[in-house]
Amino acid sequence: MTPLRLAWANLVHKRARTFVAAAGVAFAVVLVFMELGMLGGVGRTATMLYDKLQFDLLITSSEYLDLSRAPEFPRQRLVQARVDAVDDVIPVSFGVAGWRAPRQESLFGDTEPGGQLSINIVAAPPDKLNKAFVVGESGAFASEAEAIEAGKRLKQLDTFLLDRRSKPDFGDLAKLQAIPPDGRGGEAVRLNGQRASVVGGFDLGTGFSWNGMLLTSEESYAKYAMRPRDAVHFGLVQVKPGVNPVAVQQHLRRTLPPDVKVYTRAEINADERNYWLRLTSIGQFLLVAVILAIVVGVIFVYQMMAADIRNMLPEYATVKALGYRPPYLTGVVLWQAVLLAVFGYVPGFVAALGLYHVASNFGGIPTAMTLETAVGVLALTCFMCLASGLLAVRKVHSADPADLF
Amino acid sequence: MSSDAQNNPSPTPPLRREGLNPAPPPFLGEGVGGRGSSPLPPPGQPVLRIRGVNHYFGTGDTRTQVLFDNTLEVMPGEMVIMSGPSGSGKTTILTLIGGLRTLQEGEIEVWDANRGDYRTLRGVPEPELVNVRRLIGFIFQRHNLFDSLTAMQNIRMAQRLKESAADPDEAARDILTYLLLGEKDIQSKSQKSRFDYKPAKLSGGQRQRVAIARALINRPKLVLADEPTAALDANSGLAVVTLVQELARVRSETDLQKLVRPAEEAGENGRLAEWQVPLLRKIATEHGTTSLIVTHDSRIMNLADRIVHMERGRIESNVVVAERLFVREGLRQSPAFAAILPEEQEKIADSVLVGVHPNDPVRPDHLAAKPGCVEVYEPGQAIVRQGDAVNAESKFYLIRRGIVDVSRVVNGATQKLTEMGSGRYFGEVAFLMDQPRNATVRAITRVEVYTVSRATFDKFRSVSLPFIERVLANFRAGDGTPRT
Repeated sequence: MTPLRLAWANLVHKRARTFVAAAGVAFAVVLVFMELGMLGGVGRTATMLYDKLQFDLLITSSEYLDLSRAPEFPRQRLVQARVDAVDDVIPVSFGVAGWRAPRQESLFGDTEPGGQLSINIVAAPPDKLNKAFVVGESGAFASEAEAIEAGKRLKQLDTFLLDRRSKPDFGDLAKLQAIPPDGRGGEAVRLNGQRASVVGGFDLGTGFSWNGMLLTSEESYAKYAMRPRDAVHFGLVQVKPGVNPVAVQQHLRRTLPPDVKVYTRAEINADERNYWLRLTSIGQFLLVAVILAIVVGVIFVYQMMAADIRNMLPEYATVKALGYRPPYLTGVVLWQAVLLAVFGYVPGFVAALGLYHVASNFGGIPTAMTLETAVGVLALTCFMCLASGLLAVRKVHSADPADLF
Repeated sequence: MSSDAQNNPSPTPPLRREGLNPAPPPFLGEGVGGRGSSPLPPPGQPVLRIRGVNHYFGTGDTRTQVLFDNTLEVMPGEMVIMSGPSGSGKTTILTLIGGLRTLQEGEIEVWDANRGDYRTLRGVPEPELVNVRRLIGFIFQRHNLFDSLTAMQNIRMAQRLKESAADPDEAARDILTYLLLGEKDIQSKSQKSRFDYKPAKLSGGQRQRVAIARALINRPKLVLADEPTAALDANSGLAVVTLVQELARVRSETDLQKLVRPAEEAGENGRLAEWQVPLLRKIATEHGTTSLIVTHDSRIMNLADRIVHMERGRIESNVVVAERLFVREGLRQSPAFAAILPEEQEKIADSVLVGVHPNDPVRPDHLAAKPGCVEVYEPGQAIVRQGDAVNAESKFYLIRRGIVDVSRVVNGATQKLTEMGSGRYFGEVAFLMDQPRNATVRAITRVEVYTVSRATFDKFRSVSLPFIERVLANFRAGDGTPRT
C-alpha cells in the first residue's frame, strides 16, 4: 500500500468529506482565477488600444505616464520624425468627452434619454484608418475595405464610429446610426453637448480605463474636444520594410527634441502594464486579492485536512505502531493534499471559464484564459494544498501509538 | 530418605513443555551467541529482558512515578499473561517493551532475529524505535483498522513492511480464512468471505480478527496484546489462541484434533473445524513466538506459561506456571509438607520459585536475584552428609534438575541406596525427627535443588501444628525405615 494508494483510498472512502474539501479548493481556485482574470484584464486594458494600432515606434510626450494621462506634444515632431527609414508617421489623438445617455430598454421599463456618460475618443486621419488600425479578424476593422469605407464616412465633420464592444449604456449601434443628425424624431446623439452622428462601428473593447470608445477624424476631435489642431497625443511611426525599428528609435531619440519620447511596441506595452499593475491601486488591490485568495484556500484546506487527520489519528498511530516511518505518513498526507488539489482544480477551472465568459461578454472586463494562467493556477493550487498538508502533517506526527493500548 | 527413595518414589510432575526445551528445542533452531541472523536467542537466554525499569508521567511538580524497578525475563515461545488491577502499570510496561514510548530509566532488550542480537531500547531516539516496533505484532483492544481499506488491504499494510511470503495475498487470505472470515464457516458450510469488506461492514469480532491477522501475518517473534479475545465468540477465540500457541511451539496432531469436537462438547471453550487444522499448519510455518497478553479471559489464563502480576507499578509476582506446579507437586508428595495446610504449602512453594521453567537451567543471575531458593551442585559435590547435625540451617531439598546418589555407611562399608532425579526430594525427616542426617546425598550430574529452610518450615509448621502432630504420630507408628 503505497502512500498514494492509501491517500486515494482515504479520499474515496469519505466521499462527502472529500466533496466538501474539493468544493472548498474549487472555491479558492475560482477566487484565484477571477482575481488573476481581473489582473489580466487590467494588463489587457493597459495595452488594448495599442494592440489595435499599427506602429513600430510610438512617439509620445516626454511627460507621458499612461494612456489615460497622455499629454499632447507639437504636431511638428511628427514631421521631424519622417526620416529616410520611416515609411509613415500617423498622428493619433486621444481624449474624453461627455456622451448623452440614450433611451434604454429593459425588462423593468424604458429609461428616458439624458444624463452624462464619460466616453473616450480616439482620432486619426480618416484616409489612413487602414494604416493606423489593425485590420483583420482581431483588428479594429474586419477588413481593409471596411477601414477605408469607414474613413470615407469620417471625412464628414461631426461623424463618429462607435466601438461595437462599448457598454450597452451608450446605446445600440444600429439605433444610434438611425438617429437623424438634425434632431428630427425627438432624439439626438450629443457629445459634449453638441449634436453628432454615429456613422458606423469598429471593434476595440472595454476595460478598466473606459466603458465606451468613439473613433473620429482629427477635425471632429478638435471641434468636440476643443483641443488645438497643432498638438497630438501620439505619433505612430511605421518604418520601411527591412529596417530595424530599434535603430530608428535610437536615431529619433538623438534627433527629436526632448519634449517627446520614442517607444518601441514592447517598451510601451511593458511601461503601460507596469503602471497599471504596480502603480495603480486597482493593480495592487487585485494582486493582494490573489494572495488573499490563496491564503483563504490554504486555511480552508488546512481546516479540512486537520479535521480529517484528527478523525484518523488512531489509524495513523496504528501505522506508526506497525513500524512505518514518519516520511510514509507525510507522504500519505501530502498525496492526499495533491489529490484534493486536482479534485478542486478541475471544477474550479471549468467554473472560471464560464465566469471569464460572463465577465468578458457581459461585464466588459477583458478576461481571458491563457495556458500560462491555467498552468500557473494549477501550480498555485498544488502549492496551496501542499502548504495546508505540511501544516496538517504535524498533527499526524503527534499521533502517539502509546495511546492505542 | 532412602526408604522414600526406594519405596515411595515421588512421581515426576508432568511439566514438559511440548516441543520446547530441553535445549535446543527442535523448532527453535540453534541460538547463537554472536551477531548474525538467528530466529531465536541462544539457549537459556530470554527473548525479552527487562531490568530495573522505572517510568514517570508528567514533568516538574506533576511528575509521577508509575513504574517502580521492574525486572522480568521472558523466554522464547512463552505465553505470558499480564494481570493486575487497572492502573497497575501493565499497559505502560507493554508500551515500553513495544517501543511505543521512550524508555526513561532501566533497560529493555528485545531479541532481533534479523540482527541475531538484542536490540536495546535504552537511549534509543524515537525514529529508531521504529525498528523495534517492526519486530513486534501489536493486538490492540480497539482494533484500529484503516476504515478506508478492506480487510485484505489492512493486512497488506503490515505485510508491506516485511514481504516474506511468496504470495502475500494468499498468505493474507489463509489467515483470514483460518480466523473464519473466509468462504467457510465453522460448520464447513460456504459463506461470503469478508476479504473485501471494509471495517464499517464488519462486526466488532470480525474487526478484531482482522486486527489479529494483521498483527500475526508477519509471524513476529514477540506479540503484545491487550484483551485480544475480548470481542470474540468461543470458536473465534479458540482459533486465535490456538494460532498464538502454534506460533509459539509445535503441537501434536493429536492435541489439535482434540480441539475438533462437536459443538455440544465444546461449550464455552469453543472448537476448531476439521479444515482449520491443516490451514493452521500452513500459516504457522515458524515457531518460537513469545506473547505478552493483558487479559481477563480465563480461556487464555489457563494456557499461560508465565503469569506476571502487577500492583501499583511493580511486578509483584512473576510465576512460571510449570515451575509453580513442579514445586507444589514436589512438596505435596513429601509426607512432611502434605500435612501442612494446602494454602500454607502453596505459600512455601511460591516463596522458592525463581521464575525459570524447570526444564531450563538457572543462571547465576537468577540465583542472585532470589538467594537461598535454589542451590546448584557440581558432580561429586555432597549436598548432605551422613551424621550431619540438624540445626536451624538445615534444609529440605527438592531436585529441580540433575541426578543425585544416596548412600550410607554401614559398618565401615558404603552402601548405595538409590539415585534420584528431577521432582524427587530429600531432607524432610531431619526436620520432623530432629535427628542427624542418616545418609549422604551427592550430585552425580550438575544438580539444581529447591531448598526450604528449617526456619521457613517451622514458621508454617506452627500454623499447621495439629496436622504435623498427626503426621508425626503416623511416622512413629510406621515401619521403622530410617529416613534422613
